[in-house]
Amino acid sequence: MTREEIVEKVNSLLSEEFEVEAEAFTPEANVKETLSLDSLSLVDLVAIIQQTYKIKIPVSDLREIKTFNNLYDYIESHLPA
Amino acid sequence: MTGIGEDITALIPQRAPIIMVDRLESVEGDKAVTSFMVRPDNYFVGAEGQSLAEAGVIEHIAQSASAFSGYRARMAGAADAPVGYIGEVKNFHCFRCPRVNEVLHTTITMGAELEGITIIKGETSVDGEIIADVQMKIFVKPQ
Amino acid sequence: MLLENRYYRIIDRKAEGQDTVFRVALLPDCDIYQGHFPGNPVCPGVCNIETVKECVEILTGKRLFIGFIRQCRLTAVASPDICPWVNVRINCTPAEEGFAVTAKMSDDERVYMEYKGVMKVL
Repeated sequence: MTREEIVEKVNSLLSEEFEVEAEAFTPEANVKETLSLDSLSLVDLVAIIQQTYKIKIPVSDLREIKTFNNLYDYIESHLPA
Repeated sequence: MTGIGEDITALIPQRAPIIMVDRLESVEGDKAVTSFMVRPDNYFVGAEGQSLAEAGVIEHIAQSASAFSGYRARMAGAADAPVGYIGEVKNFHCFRCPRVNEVLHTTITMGAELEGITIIKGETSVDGEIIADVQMKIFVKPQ
Repeated sequence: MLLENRYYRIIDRKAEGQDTVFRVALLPDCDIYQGHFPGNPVCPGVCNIETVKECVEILTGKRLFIGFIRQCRLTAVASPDICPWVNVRINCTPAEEGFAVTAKMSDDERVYMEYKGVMKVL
């Protein structure tokens, strides 16, 4: 799975789930702010990644993910073999 | 196995007049099944005493999830059932209200969890007919 | 009505543009608090959902059925101690088989519930 495929897939999933236009997902934009996530909706982000890529994001790692680039990097580097 | 079929008040924090689940019937991995009979004196049965209001169906599903997490907590050695609140109800469909004396069977599927908030899916049926389904977030206060 | 004058009481009602705002008192002596939870009275989220439904029934003069809830976020714990009264702001527009309803339950301090769904006419 190439990075472009991850970026495209993640953007469409998040755009649909959080009802935000994908144009707003610039690589350096802050994920929480762009999707206006709070403690209730943050778990939806974790659930989507877990469902789609079978990757469980622990809280400690989640805190490090600030921008969309961070998210794409995390998925790319944690894809199951 | 202890917990399953046990006195429900050991698995959930709610008490009369708002106990909305009778038994935890089975647990298998991230799925559990509960049962509940709609009685005439149920808090959510209206004055005309015919059926359980939609809000009652949601509370029944939430307490079914609560019984499941209470069971898991007891299995992990907790003394009493954790207090949980509904944080979000999403895509709730109610196809019909269950009538008094009908028995509900609800399947709960435990989903992702993050900092005390757990996503659950619930589906309730009466004699095999699906009457409601929903996705919920249950917030369990850390003990 | 299932909960009116048992769980809540309507104190005031006024139109505000497209919305109607009910001012609702949460009744501290309601028997639900004996079991939800013993020694720790907390409003059950579902009772606030039922309260919204009953306000919409009063507003429309119709018996309604909650067929679909798109999303209901319960964003803060409510109770008669925390918030003896709350504003229930309702926007209700005709939709297929009933009404599209959005509602917000709040007081001056915080928002307790945001609700979006469809209520069918019985």
